[in-house]
Amino acid sequence: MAGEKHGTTSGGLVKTVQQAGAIAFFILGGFILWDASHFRYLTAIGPGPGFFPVWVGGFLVVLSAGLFIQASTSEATFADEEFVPDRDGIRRVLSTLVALVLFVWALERIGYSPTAFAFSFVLLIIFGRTRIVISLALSVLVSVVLFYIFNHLLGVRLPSSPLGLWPAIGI
Amino acid sequence: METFGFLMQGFAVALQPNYLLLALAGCFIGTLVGVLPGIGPSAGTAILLPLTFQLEPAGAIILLSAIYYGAQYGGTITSVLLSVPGEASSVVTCFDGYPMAQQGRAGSALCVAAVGSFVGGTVATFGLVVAAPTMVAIALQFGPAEQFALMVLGLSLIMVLAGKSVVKALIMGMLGLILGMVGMDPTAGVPRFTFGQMHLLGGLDLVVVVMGLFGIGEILVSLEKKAAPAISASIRSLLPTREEARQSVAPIARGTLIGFALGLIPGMQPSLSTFVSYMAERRLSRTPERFGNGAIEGVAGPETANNAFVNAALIPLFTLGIPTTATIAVLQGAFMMHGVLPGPLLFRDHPDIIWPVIASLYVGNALLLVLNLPLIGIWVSLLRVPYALLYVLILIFTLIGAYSITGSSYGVGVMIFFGVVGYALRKLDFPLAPLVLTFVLGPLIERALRASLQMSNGSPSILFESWTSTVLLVAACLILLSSVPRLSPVNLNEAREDNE
Repeated sequence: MAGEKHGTTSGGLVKTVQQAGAIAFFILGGFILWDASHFRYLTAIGPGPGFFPVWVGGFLVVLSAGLFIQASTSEATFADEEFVPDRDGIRRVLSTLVALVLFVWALERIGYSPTAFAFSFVLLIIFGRTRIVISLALSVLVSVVLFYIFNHLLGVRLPSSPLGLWPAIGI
Repeated sequence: METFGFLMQGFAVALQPNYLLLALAGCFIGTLVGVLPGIGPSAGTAILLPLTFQLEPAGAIILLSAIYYGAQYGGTITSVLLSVPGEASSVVTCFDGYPMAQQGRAGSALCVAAVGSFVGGTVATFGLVVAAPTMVAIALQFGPAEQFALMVLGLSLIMVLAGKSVVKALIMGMLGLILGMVGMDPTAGVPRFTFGQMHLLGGLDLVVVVMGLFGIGEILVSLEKKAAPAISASIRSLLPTREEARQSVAPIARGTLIGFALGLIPGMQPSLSTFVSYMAERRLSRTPERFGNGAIEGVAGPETANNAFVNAALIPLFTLGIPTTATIAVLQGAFMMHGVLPGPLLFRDHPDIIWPVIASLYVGNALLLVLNLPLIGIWVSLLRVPYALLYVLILIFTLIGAYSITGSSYGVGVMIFFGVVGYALRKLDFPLAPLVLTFVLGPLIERALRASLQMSNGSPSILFESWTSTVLLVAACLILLSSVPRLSPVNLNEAREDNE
């Protein structure tokens, strides 16, 4: 087993997470069944819109119950240390998620170029601990150059920026 | 012979400068995708799909197909030179390819891999041309019941072969079916699972979902670990010795057969064909102790099998409309985005699209052979680009891609949501391929099932009225039942490899 190979016997966290996953799918299956009850199961000419969801939701409920039992009665398939990344890894993942959410929020409010610039700059610093000057230069490249390529060469319309100097230079 | 006439017409189109350029661009981009760790062929194809919007259907499919099989060769380069497989299907090449590189024989390994890939891909494409008319003729006889049974059989294979945990694969299948139901009911026109959201009335976009699951999700997993610095072996000569060439012939032939046969099976993992080929070569060798220490057969066979698999896997898509891997499901999405439905009617209704695409498979395989060996230095130098910049660029591309498809930041938000879902599912060892495949096939399955039951006034006996549908459904049941003894926890490494 992987956990024993690495000199640990842990896996309690992994087991708990696996059980939580099974419960989440169980709830999802139950929701599908409940929502499908609002549609007609059968009509005069055959199966209605509720037919397929009922079966899919039902199968999901049964399968997730089976998964919960499997997760509860079996050894964890890998150690907690393999499941949880180190501090730097957590930092990189969380900062990426936050940056992605902020990108979506800002994209149509301040336009693509400033949004992409900020996104790139922050992540370059966080990922690679790159020097600020280099990160600034690369971020300008990513934001401005890609805007021109996609907007003008490939015909992919990206939101323009209403901010300050950006419209003055056509972005 | 009529088939070969169509193929010649396809060549006449595929060899036009614009399509040649697209095939070339696809091979180049695909190799790049394969070289870069952290982004697999599924994500790479999905991320680049929006770039094909401006192209007409044949050109778009030629480009994306070239990216698809180009990525397989790109993974070989890093396997040989760095012992870092760019794709899961390139893992086996590390066993003997990297030792060969350490012995100064990297050029031989890469050359044999390129030639083997060309042979495997070309023979598989020839198999497509030969088999297509027969398979199409059979499929055109299928009614809704047979179509339903065939798709159920395909999905049962996918579930059973997706990994060691069949339960997890089945759950992913159900999840994919649920995602496929979002939007308007295909028959009654009633909105389902839209939660009052106008954006969801048209359903979830396949490309956005795949970009999130495979693109964002893969990158988040990669970000957990700090990227290791690359140490590259040098290349002295690109040509193998006469002895190495002689030793490669039989493995290339066997690899072609193995890859072609396995590529036809829905749910089969590309990496499995390489492992099967490697084990076969080691078993057949008179000097098996050489394997793992730089045996050329350990590169020739698996690399050939890999490319034969990749091209053979297109046969069920083109002839039956059944995608067999996640990447091919993305290709199917590309077809549908351009208004073309893969399947038996494709050859009848769109010969002007499918035959140039098939001809371009030959052309693309030849381009890969000619291009990639001289450009090896460029690929290796790309690996020196800091991972921080690579990840940022890939993220930006996915964000732009999602926005270009949906035209709103809502779509980008959906992609990020599925990115988080993909990340969580990977952490919990759920295979993603069944989710994508059922997401694509789910609406078709529902439509076929409901059409069948409407014809029989709701009686399920219609599914067993013909021998074809009966045999297919019984086979599906047997396949699922055969997996019952394997209701055991899955190995982390094997499940993660299945998500490639």
